[in-house]
Amino acid sequence: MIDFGAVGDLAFVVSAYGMILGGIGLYAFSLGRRLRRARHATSAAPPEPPADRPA
Amino acid sequence: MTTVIRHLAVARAIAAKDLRAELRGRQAVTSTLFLAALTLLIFGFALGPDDARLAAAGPGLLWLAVILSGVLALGRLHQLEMEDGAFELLALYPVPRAAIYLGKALGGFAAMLALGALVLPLTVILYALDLAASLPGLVLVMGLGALGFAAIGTLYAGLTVRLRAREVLLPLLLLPVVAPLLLAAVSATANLLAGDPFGELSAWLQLLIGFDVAMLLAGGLTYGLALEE
Amino acid sequence: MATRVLGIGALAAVAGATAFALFVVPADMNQGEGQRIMYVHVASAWLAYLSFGVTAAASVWWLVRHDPRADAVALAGAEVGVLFTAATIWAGMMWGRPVWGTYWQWEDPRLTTTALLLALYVGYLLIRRLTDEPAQRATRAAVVGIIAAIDIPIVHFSVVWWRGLHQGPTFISPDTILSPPAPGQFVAALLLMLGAFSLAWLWMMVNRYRLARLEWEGEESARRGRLPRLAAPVPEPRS
Repeated sequence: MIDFGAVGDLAFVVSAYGMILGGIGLYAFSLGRRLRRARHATSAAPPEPPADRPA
Repeated sequence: MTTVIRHLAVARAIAAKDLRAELRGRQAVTSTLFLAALTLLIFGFALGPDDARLAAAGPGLLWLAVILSGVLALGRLHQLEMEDGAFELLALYPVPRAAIYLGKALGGFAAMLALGALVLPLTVILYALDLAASLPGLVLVMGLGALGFAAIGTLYAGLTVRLRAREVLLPLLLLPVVAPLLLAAVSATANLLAGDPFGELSAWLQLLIGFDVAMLLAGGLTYGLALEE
Repeated sequence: MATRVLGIGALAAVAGATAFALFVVPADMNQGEGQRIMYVHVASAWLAYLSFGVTAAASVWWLVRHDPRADAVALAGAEVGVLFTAATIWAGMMWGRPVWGTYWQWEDPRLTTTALLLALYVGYLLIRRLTDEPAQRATRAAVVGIIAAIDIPIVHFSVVWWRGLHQGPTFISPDTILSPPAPGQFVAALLLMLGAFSLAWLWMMVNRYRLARLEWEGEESARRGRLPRLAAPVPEPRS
């Protein structure tokens, strides 16, 4: 086993946790943003165009 | 019983049509045969010139060549039909979708067997493999591997044929799915060549058969969805 | 909104479980501090496979009923699944580096199976991206999703046999040669992390589902806006 030393070992683990939780958090954050944008888009959508009746 | 016969008749007609088109110079599969041979050659440049290393890698390289050119061959079997407009016609025939799938898969199986028939002797020559008494077993493994690959490859080729990015998408979808097939085929081949020292062969053959059955069923049930669009 | 509470709860739970796993539970006597990564690795793996089960089931639902909600669930499962699969692989590699000396070990069945899982579902997302028509997209994706679900058990068996038959007795996976000084806390840390991650998973699934529904509705109204109006009213399409 690689010996990181008592402090180094835990530091490695903490940084691993940071990377993984950070990645998941990033996805969650961007998901929230996409959802908000989509909701604004639908609420701001123009009304349906008037019906064109064929002659 | 008559429905089974009908299925088989339709399948045979479709497979025969593909074979005839190929013999008349459609070049769906025949071009990939040259590619398979070329792949084996450049593998040698990549991994050689040490004979021992090449011989050890032999089974893997054999199946890599078969699968990589097989992806192209199966894709082209659908693609060229699509370009001729025949694929759309196929969907219009009032025949069971599973029968159409069976016919296309048979054609694909024949293509894979052709690739295997070329690659096997070439591998023996190029990588100095010792066939010994293992040829019947190798033919069996080649058959099972070809069948499974054709089964899922035909389905995915039909599913992606209408997409512009099909040349990239087909291998992208196919290669992960056939990983267990590749693993089992290579292991079985290596075991056969070594004389099956640990008796693993039956396990790998069972895996191949299981894979084949699962993919044939899946293809038969869902190919119709790929046709209707 | 209820989801807001869920989100805050998930955040708090993950923070708490992480603190517990990093600072409260004692280090493993055999594997040392590095063993702590296992809590995240196992939790992620569980949710990755759960997500893809959801996608497979939703795919069947779509093929049977053509309900757009089914497609939305399938998409949510696949996207969230890819996230947790990537997390599983990353955690596996981080765990492996100190123990194996390398980031990758072909003999680890979970690592290799999960890598293939990732490839399968990236393909799923890609075929979706390349199909414009919503119903067609849903059907194609459903076929791919179901095939992938069928394939995974086969992959699992093949990889386990592959490793088992090659006799690697000295091989270490995250689950082996564990020696927790406080087994109760070890189990608690695992369950806490699993529970916290599950809450986060739920939050993401719900919101990804909502986003998918909005996107579908947006596409549908865009298509309707482009179609010419007819003189007589047309019955609503089967949904």
